[in-house]
Amino acid sequence: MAEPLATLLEYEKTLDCVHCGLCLPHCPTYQETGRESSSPRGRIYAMRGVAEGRIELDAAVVDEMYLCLACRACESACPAGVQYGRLVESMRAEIDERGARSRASRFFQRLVLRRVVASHIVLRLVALALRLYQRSGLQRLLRASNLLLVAPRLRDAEQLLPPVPPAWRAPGVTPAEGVLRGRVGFFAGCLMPEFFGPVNRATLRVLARNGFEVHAPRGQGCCGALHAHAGDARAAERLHARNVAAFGADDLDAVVVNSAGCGASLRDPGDALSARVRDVSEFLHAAGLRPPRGAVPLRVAYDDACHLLHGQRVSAAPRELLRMIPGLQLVDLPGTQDCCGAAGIYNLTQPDMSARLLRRKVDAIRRTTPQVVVTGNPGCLLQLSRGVRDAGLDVEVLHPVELLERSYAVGESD
Amino acid sequence: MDPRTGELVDRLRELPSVEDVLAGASEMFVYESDGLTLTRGRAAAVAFPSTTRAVCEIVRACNEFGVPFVPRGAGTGLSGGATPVDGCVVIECARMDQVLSIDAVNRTATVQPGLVNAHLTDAVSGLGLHYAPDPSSQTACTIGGNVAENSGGPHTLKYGTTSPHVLSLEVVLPDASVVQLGRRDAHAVGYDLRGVFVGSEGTLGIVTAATVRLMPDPETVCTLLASFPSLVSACEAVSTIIAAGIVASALELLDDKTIDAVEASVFAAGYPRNARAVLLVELDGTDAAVQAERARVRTVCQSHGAIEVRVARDEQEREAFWRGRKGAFGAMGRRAPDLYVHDAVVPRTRLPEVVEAITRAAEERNLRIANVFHAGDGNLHPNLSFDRRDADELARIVDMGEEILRICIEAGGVLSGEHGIGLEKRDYMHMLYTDEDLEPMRWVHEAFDPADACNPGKVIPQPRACTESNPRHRGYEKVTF
Amino acid sequence: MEAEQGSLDHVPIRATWSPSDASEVAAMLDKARGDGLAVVPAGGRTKLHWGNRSDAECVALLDLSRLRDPLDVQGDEGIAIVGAGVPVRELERAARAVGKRTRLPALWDAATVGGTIAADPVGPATRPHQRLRDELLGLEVALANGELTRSGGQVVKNVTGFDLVRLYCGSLGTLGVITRVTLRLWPLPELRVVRLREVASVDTAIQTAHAIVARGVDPAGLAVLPGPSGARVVCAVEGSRVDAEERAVRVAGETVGEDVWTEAERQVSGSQEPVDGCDVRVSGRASDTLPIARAVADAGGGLRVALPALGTVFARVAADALDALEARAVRERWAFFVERAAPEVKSARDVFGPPPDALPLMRRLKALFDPERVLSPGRFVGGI
Repeated sequence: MAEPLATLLEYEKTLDCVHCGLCLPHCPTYQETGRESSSPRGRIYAMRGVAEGRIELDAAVVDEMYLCLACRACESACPAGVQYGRLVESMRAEIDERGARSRASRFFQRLVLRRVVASHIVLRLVALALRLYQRSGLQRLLRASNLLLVAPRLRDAEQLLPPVPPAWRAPGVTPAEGVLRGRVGFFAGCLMPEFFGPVNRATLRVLARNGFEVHAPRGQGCCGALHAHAGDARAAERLHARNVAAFGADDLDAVVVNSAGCGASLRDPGDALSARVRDVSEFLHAAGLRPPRGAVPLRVAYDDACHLLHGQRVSAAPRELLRMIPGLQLVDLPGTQDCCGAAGIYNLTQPDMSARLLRRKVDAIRRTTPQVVVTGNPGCLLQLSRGVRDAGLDVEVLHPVELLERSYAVGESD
Repeated sequence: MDPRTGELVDRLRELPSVEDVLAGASEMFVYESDGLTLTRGRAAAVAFPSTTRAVCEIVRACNEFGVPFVPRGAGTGLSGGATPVDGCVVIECARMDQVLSIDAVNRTATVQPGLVNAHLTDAVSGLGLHYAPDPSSQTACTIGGNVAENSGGPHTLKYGTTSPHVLSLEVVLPDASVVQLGRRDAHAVGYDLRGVFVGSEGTLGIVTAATVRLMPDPETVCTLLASFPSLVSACEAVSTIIAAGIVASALELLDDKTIDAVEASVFAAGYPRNARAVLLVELDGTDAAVQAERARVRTVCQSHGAIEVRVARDEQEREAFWRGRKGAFGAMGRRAPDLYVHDAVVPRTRLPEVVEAITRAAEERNLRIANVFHAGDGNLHPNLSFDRRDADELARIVDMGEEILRICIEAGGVLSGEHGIGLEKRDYMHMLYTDEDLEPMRWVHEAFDPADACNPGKVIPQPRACTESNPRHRGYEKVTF
Repeated sequence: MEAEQGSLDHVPIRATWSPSDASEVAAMLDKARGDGLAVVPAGGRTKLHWGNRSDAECVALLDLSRLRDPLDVQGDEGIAIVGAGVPVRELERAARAVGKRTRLPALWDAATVGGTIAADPVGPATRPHQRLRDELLGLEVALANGELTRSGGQVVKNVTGFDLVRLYCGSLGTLGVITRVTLRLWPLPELRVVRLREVASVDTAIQTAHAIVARGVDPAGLAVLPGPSGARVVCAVEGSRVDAEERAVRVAGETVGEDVWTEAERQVSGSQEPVDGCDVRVSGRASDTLPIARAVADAGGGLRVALPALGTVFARVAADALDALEARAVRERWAFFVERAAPEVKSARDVFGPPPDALPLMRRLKALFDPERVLSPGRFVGGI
């Protein structure tokens, strides 16, 4: 019947699951489909079934493993402490190893991950090309021409794009302002400098304003999260090793990350680098934020990034930081604990499910009527921007540090 | 898949109001068990209705093909009530999850069966109301499943199990007709068919809508956590609290092994690790009453040698105390690959001796056991850790399950307090009831499901006298009046 | 066994049997079936007038008042195990002696535990979520096939098989004869306060009662009675001393003695003597109490007592007004029950009103439990 016992699947970890089902309502794909096979419990059961040779690794199993967002909401709900995120990654690696996935899907994913994301140079070229594309009027032309309809994946990717801001690279060292409180490393990320320059700039500014000298070592690169989620364990390990080397030498209090997905991924291996990784909100909250003085009179909804809430268990810190901003009204976003459908490159690989989840999120935003939605992860920022844009909502989508920096800046000019 | 099954699956897929039909081998595999992994079955298909009409159509199609059907909610049940019968169609109600109406004046809500228990309370919390039955799986289990199992929960002690909270049910009977059982105003006219349907474990039909009672939120809630040097002293404290006339809304006990498991999990509640037993007491009512009772409970616990009595300082701590209790079952997953959550009830005053006997029996069988109790109503949940890949251990587990029942019945108890009989305990029903006692249950079943199509083979065992020669599963023909 | 003259709704009572224990009950049912004789179980005979006129030619009355064993009140365990013939008041006395009480409606002096369960009455102390059927843990029942059976158990939480206990409760002796009962005991409250408020009209009284519930008083009993100058709201509050005092303060009015409460109970139990007119009980949702009371008045009826928390109104109406009131009840989806009427009035109608749509299921059940129609044939809903 099935192939011999799995080698890459962390089989023993599947045994932690006692089939209680408490994860079910927390799983976005289960919420959408109601299928046991689309639930964490069902997926673990299928992994176990494959490993024990009780079922074939058929197309249905493979599809469900990739329909999973790896948002890890189930881990927050799991009383048995099942490490679901690692399980699904190892299962995807197993699937790749057995060649059980369609060639086209693998090719598309590998192309994006190994050749684009993992390479600084290619990434820069892509970003540059996009900037040109958007500003030259070609975008308008192409969108109007319906040419994109012939390539649905390309179309989805194209539509996800917000206007790409100018690239911004962090200086090697940013000096602290005021009394020096410590020295921290800054993990700049791979997509962030190209697509989220303002977020990185705000992060450095806020850290500096809080008395931290910020080091952004040159040798760092992609965290490898997307590769690991996709089951490309080897690429992920290679990338992590590069970062360990980049940050290893420096005598730093912490390595600050402003991308939830990267943070969760860097923390996962449990090595020396992992132990020093802090999300920017978590770090500032623990250090004690210097009170921002400038009023930012906005109605703001905080949306939990999965890999911050579920992956790193950080939820109170960003909210409390935002509450310190004078004039800011923080409101609850219903379903904030549920994934927005971004999930790395999920919105490219599973556009239908991604759109369904985004619709839920946008509905919640529409009902809550904030002026700004904030979230601490680049993928989510892209996804939510697209969501509110498509829905025609007049809502700004920002990273929390951008609001902090705005408050400091306003406070300065007063 | 045999051609006839394939034809049925095609038929189901053509039904307009059926949202989804699964029939793949690996898909059926993940449906082979509910929360009880000791029993398994292989369905032919899983159908997802979204309306009452869709349920009727699925049932009608099954009847036409002579295929049995099994209703299912979230699959969190612990007695195999939703274990598929081989070759059946599972009717998965998870997508029928809407709140249909809320009557705040009369404090009722009408909901679809797939609504998650806790989501109902979420939906009405703005009105100062809640749905009282709170099984430990309430964040996942569905109202339809609760109705089928007559689910309990910690607050059953004061507010009762599911049954008193169900006013009326819209039910698709096994012949595909729709009938209303009970009334929206709870006044029974004729036999209380609603009462007998609640707890019938999906064998009498499929709930497609339920009108349930909502309770006003208590003005004040206070949760105390008392730790004891022994289980016996904790049990005695419970008895004294009840004898003192204090009607606590919950009295929950956890033994030391459970404390360890919970504290090692994400639901760590800050239970003292040195205690041999932890007692959770919840009081609710007016502020004055709760204040007074809190002092009395504290005194009682201290007089029974409590190591420490803590009062939850705020809602957050209260929730943490409860999260530990409600996550206890899953937290046991850390101890072994599989877990058997047993459920039995004894007269409350017999709890200490019964627990001792059960612990001894587990030791004799070289099994790992941890205990959680709804101490106020004598309902105990011995949790047995095992590895189903170990055939010998599995056999000892099954034997232990029976031994627990023997001990409980000897102490004047019953087979199940809230998990139901399902497949797990069906063949133990004779330990408590004679065939004559079971006969009226068979009549009830015969009246609702004469063809034995709906979740067959659950709850009621075959009569002892008439099995082999009888072609029909339950063997009614042989029974003489 | 002795012969007895008399009749039940003009159906001759051919004999009255007084079994001394449960197995005798079972044996008598076996014999009645053999003889083709219909049996009507009776306890304190306080509610024998409930139900339709039997369609049997004659009946034997099965007097269960001798089933007074056991009377086992287990205060520590919080349960009581009693013979069906034990009077409710006697059980209450025994429970009180150990600081406990039951939540059985105790509305008639002679009512027995078994009879009360079979009839399932509601009273001013019935709470919406704590009905009689929710207080029962186990029943011993003699079936028409002559078997003595057990259902439920002796523990407060039990899902061992189908819930037959709730099925038997309120089945008016048409499925089996209850011979022994295990039920729940509750602690006696430290303090009980009865508050009375006189208002100008029944309408105001019902609204006042709803307001009491809305204020979180959680009354142990609530009733509206017609009064000399309009209407009276009677509200009982129970609990620990501080608790009951705290909640009683929220009930406007004066604290009164138990006699006012007893009056409310007496109005529920209705007259024990033949009277002019018919005793009816009309029930809906809590919010229906007011429209029901108005409908009763429109039908020229006299309000006996209203229970606003339950949505139940007890009234006395003329026989010729029954049809109109019932038609109104059907339109409004209220339950309509003629508790007492002259035999000729009863023979012409179903005293339970139009049967529910689950009647075919109920008939199937009856046919399986009692295929030869031995137990109170024709007396229940839809002539079951």
